[in-house]
Amino acid sequence: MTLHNETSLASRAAGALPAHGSTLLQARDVFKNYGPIKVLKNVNLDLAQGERHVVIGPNGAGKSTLFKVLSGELPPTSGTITLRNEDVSTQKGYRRVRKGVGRSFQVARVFLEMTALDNVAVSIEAREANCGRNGGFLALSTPRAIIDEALGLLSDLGLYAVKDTQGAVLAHGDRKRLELAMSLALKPKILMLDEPTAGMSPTDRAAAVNLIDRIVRDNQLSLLLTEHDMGVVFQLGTRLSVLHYGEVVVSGEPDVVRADPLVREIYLGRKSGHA
Amino acid sequence: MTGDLLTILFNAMTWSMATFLVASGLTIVFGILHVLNFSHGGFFMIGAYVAYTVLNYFGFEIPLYAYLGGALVAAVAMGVVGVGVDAVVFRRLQNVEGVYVLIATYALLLVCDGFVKLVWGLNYLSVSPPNGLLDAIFMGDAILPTFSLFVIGCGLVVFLLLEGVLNHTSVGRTLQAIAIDPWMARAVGIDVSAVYRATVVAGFALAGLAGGLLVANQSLSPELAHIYILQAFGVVIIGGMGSIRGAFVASIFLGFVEAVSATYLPNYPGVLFFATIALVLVIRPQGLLGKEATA
Amino acid sequence: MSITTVRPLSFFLSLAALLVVALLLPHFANRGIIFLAGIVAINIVFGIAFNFAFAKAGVLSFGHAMFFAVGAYATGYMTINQDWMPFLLILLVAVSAGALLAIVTALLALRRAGGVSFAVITLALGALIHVIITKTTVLGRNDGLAGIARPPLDLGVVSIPLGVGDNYYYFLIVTCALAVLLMWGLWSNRFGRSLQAVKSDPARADFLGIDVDAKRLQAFTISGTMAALSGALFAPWAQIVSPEVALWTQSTMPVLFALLGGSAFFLGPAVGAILFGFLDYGTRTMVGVSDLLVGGLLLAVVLAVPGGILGMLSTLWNRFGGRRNNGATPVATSEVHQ
Repeated sequence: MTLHNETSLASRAAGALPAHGSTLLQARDVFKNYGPIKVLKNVNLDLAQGERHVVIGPNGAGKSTLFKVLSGELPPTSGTITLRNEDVSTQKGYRRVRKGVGRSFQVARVFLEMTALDNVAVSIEAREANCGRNGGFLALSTPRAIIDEALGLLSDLGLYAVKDTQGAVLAHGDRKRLELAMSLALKPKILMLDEPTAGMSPTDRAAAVNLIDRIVRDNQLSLLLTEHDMGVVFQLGTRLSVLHYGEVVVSGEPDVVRADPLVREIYLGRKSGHA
Repeated sequence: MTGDLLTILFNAMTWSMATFLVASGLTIVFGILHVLNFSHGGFFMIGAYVAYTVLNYFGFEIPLYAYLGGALVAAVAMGVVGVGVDAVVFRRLQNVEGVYVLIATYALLLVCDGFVKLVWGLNYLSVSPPNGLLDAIFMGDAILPTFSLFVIGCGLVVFLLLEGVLNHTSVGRTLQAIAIDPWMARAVGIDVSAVYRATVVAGFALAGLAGGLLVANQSLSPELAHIYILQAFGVVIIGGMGSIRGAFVASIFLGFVEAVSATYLPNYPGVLFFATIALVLVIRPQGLLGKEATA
Repeated sequence: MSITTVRPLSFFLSLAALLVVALLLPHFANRGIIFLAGIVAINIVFGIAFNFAFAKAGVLSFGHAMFFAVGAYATGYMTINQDWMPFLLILLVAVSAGALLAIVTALLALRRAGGVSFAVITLALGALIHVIITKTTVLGRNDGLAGIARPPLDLGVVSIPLGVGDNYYYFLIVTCALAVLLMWGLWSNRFGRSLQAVKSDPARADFLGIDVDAKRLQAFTISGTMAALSGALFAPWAQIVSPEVALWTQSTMPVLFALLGGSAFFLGPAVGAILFGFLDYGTRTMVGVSDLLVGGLLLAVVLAVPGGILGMLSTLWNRFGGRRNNGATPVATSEVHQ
């Protein structure tokens, strides 16, 4: 039983494109294949200035792959990724970072053998180096200003108490927040979070949502995240895109998406692919 | 000219099959355990020295059965050593980073070097080929020693046996399952560590067997391990890491590279060989023949 | 142990102590011991150079002998055949040759292959360089270069005859100390921290805006350059260079120094090289024992003491020294990712 065909899906998605502000990040006609498997099919997506764009979809819909393609971890098979009006489709992660992207990983990645403070300080040094400030050969220790900035970020994210703890022994939640602190240390324009509340208890999840909400507001960030907890999605998102079998089937404001019969159908699990 | 071509072809095949004999055990261990075992060359060398010691009792008149028996003794001896090395070394390397594994097996190779120097000394030793394999066949200008034909035959037999075991028996299928996903194999009730142990022992026995079969192919010196392990590495790398069929094809490919180099660049032995390996690795780090790491 | 706050005192004290011992040695030791001390100093630079790429940037080379050999042969060749060249220029050219080789190796292989794969590529390249040396007539083929002079050191205002007395020894020690100092600076400063980030987690480093490939290339080039310097200093010291310096056993030496002493520590390879100097001296007359010793030690260290001597001491210090464990023991990061 086929409820929809591909053209109708594409037109639905295309019908609901840019909303407000200037577009920071844009995916146009993006395909991604792993060998013979087509994971992303003709994905179009926009992240406007100040927007909080959440990509949702059942497990296996291609959220993570889309995230990797947008951030530069994987190149698209075809199509274009534009970042602040520049084609970055073939650029690796570090070059996109230098244009204002900060991102997290689904399983938080921090430097395990470094202390929390060093993790953030090294991130700030990386940012400075990207602006051409290298500190010089003879300056061995990290300058006081950078350490202070790092301590400020750690306090802001409630990590001051563990500043001297190694990444490897940090608690799960602390490590996630440390990774967030490292991304913020880059002073990004766009923050990309891959499943930021995955594996959290309801209490931790609520705290994480409040934290993300606050830092996005404080730092005037544009946010792109993937998430499958619907509570989180509707609390954080100002725009939702629903990914289903590698296609964006609906994109729009939360209320519109919530009311969409197709989305209801996907999430009520009548179709296969819902975990 | 036809003599030249025939000589190149023949030398290529002799080199290929000798190298394949050494590379086969290396390939199996790499395919299953994903350990690139430097010390394989060392145990190959000790196998050759063991066979030398056995054959010493026969003087210059070595019957073919004794020669094969010597190889068998070397294979068994190295298999037994393999049990010990597995328990002391390989077992502990399961959760160690790849680069440290490489360093550890290299250290083991040095231990083999030192052992050989202590026991058998630094001098060149040699074993003559067995009776019946001492002469040569003349075809035009080409001289084809019968012992080389024997080496080629051994290589083919070992290849066919391994192919048969790996592709047409339940043991082979179990090994393939483990090579692809040890976790899953464990989940379906395969005793993975027993299989690992058996693989290491088989790899070592193959090293010993190769040492015994090739003992008369060249003179023996403590350099032997280094010469053959680099060739075998080349084969395993170009063969796509861990597939017996790939190793076989790569042996033949590199055999031709080596034979052509020996004929046209006689003053620069090895240059073409190493240049080819470096080039292949640079162009295709996963090897010339596919990506699969299954034995 | 914080890497953003560098406490140079213990390093400077260690270096000064080594320097004092090395410089006073000619007053109470015989020629053999002095020669050995020079070799140990060269090995310290060689070991630290290797470890710079290995421990700081996560790039394992199994062919570092090629850099040592290029430095040694270039210096030997120029002092014999181009004796118009001032010694410092000779050293500069020899070291640049090593740098060039390192850059070419890295450009060819480092982007495409990492870890074990790259190690095997360097092994094959090292073997290639060895074969080329043994077949090149101007480099003496299998015999190598003998009768390498110690040319005068022309500093503009004064010219020091390095061939006289222990002059070359002093020059060697001072140059090694400067090389160690330079590498320590690069190891400890912001550049070193960015390399550590690359080694620790390349994907995370990438998303901090760090160009991982470029950092690896830079680390490997510094490492190869300094290994070439150790070779360049070696040629006039031994006054003979044989193809054995390009052999892969020579490539193992810095690996051994680093792991024996403790590769997580800047001075680990120095500790390893000094200890190995004593062991080598004690076993020099026994055939086969040196291989057993090197191999056995290396194996024992990898299997039983992965942190090396300094790692072990640091653990003991933290446990019994009354100091709280502040993370001085390096955490194994091996199996966490992938």
